[in-house]
Amino acid sequence: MAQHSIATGVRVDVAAVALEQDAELMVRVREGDTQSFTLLLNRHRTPVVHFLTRMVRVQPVAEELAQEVFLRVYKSRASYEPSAKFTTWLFRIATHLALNHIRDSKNERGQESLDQEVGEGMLRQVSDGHLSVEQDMVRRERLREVRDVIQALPDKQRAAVLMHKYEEMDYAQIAKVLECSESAVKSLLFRAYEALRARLAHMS
Amino acid sequence: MACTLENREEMLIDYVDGSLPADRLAQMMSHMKGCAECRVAADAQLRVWTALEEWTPAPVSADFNRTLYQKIDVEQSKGWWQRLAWPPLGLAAACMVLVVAMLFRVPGGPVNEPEKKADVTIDVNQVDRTLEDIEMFKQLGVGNDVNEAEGVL
Repeated sequence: MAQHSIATGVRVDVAAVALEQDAELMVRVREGDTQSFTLLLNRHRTPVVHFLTRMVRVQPVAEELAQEVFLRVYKSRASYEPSAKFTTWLFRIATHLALNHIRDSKNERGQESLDQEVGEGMLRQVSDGHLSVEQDMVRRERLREVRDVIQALPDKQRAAVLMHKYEEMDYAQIAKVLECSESAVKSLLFRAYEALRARLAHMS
Repeated sequence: MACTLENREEMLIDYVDGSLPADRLAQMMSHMKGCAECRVAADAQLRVWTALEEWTPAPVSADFNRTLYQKIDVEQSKGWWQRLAWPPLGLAAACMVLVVAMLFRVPGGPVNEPEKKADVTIDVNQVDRTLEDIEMFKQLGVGNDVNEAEGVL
């Protein structure tokens, strides 16, 4: 239990320091320092791309959206205020772009072609390990199932789960990103995890 | 016996992701000793947590930064008027044009009336001229030549 508290405390301190650094870097970007923008980009590029990949499921599309996110950050550097958490701002733009993309492409794309592209993307990572053919197949099947159940969640529930699980955001920060109340976020997460528990119950 | 744990869902999620403060963690652990329902739910939540960890997207493309900087360069090389071509501004501009057009449009106003009459006069003159031209072509036999030419083609 003590270990749990210490670990949580360290995580909070590290996060707080990172937040201060982000704000400081962004202030420098506002003053015209492009090096600071590169530092911010290198620090947040992977989480943003991964978040968008899990949202839209197609990595090239996710990367294009992520570039749009950083382009918008750069374009609006003059109006940045350090009072706003940088990551909240960043993920608000990312979520907004992802939800718009999902809305626009819902009727344009067939589910079949979408699955194919994702499948190709996943193939690269699972074949890196030293798994037997059978283990590899089982793992692929589990991954496919995980992706499918996340994909089946309503868009806002999915965004909330992805930020909570993979970005380790607390309820308050997710609320700021999604521009809703903390209780609304809890409700979104409870319903999402309830659905996920039911659908993934058979996994050991 | 039904579970009586307060904020059960939040406690379950926070318990599994390790974000429960020490006092609430102790409360949860003590509660679960006597509540089979919560033990099963916590186990299921742990399975979800573990399953989600398996999904790691592929690494970001090596040319991600380069492509982004190219887009930034393109953006910076744009003139101020092009930067104003931002969609919401375009929409605002279109709305303004519409509003201005509606302000200047007086129904049955004196400015538009003579123009309309002039249009009607021109149309009648054009019809007259066209009829005269047709008559003239008939007299000159041009229509026959045209028919012959079409036949050759």
